[in-house]
Amino acid sequence: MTPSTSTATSHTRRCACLALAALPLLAATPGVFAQAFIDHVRQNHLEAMKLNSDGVVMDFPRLADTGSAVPLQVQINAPAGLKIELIEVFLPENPNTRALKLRLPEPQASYNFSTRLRLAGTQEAWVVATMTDGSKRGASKPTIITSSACFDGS
Amino acid sequence: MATQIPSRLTFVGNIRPGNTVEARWIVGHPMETGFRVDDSGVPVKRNVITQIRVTLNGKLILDMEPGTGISSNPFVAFPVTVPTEGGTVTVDWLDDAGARGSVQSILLLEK
Repeated sequence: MTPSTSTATSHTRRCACLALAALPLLAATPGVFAQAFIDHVRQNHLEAMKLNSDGVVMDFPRLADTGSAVPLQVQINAPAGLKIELIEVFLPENPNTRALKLRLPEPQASYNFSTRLRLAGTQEAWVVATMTDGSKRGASKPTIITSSACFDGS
Repeated sequence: MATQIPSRLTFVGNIRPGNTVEARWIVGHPMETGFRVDDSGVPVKRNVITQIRVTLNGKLILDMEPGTGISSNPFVAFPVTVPTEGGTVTVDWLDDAGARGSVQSILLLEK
């Protein structure tokens, strides 16, 4: 056996031992890992849509003391020749991702609204507007929450 | 007897024909997410407002579907274009428990 092979074997054994040692930890907290994975997928899904943010302006605080009521103000201007017919607000790390859906029975060239959101924790809020031709525009803004709004007893 | 849930609808801006004013609606609703437990550890049943419909002179101008991501005592501000003859803005809502509410406000034209 050459020294290098011995080192490699030892390294592999150490990794295997560490993995075995970590198994009880993973088994004890499956919900945490599953939730983290779901959040990651949701965030990536919104990012993968590669939304054009032109005409979408969000006023969202960079830092909020509590996630119970975070003010959100949105101004959307549709591109020339198009109108807005649907606006959605997504909070990827909340248990229920879609916070609000606004449907405009009469599509508008520009629209603004404001509301107060309940955030489970530090995350990016997304606003996605659907135009009359089906195209989507959207923007996101991150906020840091120092105290969560979720009291789930965990 | 069912408890009356307070709700208010106000306008900000000059109420003149053709102008766009901001309508501000607020309702005193707990917006229980269903993720919370009470002091004895029993989960509190989900009860959020699931539908809000805004009409101007009887015509639907905005249809909203809030979720658990909206804060308790929900507040929404939205634009309303004042019709030539003025009119009435009505906000109707419905929650998970089947409770309904409605608030009206008159767009009284300024002289």
